[in-house]
Amino acid sequence: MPLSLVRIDDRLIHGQVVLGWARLLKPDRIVVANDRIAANLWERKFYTASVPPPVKVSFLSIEETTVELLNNLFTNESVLMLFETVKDVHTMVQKGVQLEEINVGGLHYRQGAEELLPFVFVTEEDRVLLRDLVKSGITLLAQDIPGNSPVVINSMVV
Amino acid sequence: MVAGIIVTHGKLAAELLETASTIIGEFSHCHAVTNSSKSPQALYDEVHALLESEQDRRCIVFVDYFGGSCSHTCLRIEHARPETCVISGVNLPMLLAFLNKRETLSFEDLTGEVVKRGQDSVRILDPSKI
Repeated sequence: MPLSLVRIDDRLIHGQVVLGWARLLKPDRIVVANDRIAANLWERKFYTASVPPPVKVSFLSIEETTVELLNNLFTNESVLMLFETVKDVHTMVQKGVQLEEINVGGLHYRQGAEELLPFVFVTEEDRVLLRDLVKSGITLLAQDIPGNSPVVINSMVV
Repeated sequence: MVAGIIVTHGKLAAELLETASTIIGEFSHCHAVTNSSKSPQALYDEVHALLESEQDRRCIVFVDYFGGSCSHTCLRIEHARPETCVISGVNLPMLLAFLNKRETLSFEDLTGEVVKRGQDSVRILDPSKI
């Protein structure tokens, strides 16, 4: 699958993704990889309504996403893939999915989270999981919108 | 009186309220919320707390952009609290109509009226047709 962007963003589909990244990268499909949303029809309708055609939208569980990526499905489409949490991406990488780069686009303040950048707050658990991702050779690029410069945050989590 | 909560990106909500008060004077029971630097949960909690604080009144929640994180969060709140009404595309004429009519119209008439005023105010101006 040609992945044009793999992004962690606790807001999933929203303005920065649709008007920022999708306008620049012109993906054929946005994949929301999230167990809760994949299992909830109302949530799926709700996110679908916010993506203007011709971009298609799919909602997959983390397990389904892992299988799709390991088997190179979606090969004919460019895909912008969204994760809500570090844990979800980490689960997928642990199961053997190889990624070169992850866009960290929005992890906002939660109880106990520490600020790395104004739009990136990490809990101790996130930090441990991000460190694992760095060890797998992944570059963590913090960048909210295409117009702002990316910041490599690998050294901030080790 | 119907209460209002304006939820937007950046400082738009606060500035809309500030600007409206310079036109029609001070008012109460209308709140501004920004999504800046907030997680969806934090934004949800903030809007929810304001709705709770206005629990004696019906409430209209205005959001700036359909499809953005403000509208996502507020739609989710409406899903959980169907007595709330969420209107997207908030603009100054819509807000002024709300503030002017919220003490006289029924809730249903008010929601229709503010949407109409907001929509009617968007037009291509043509001096020859004034």
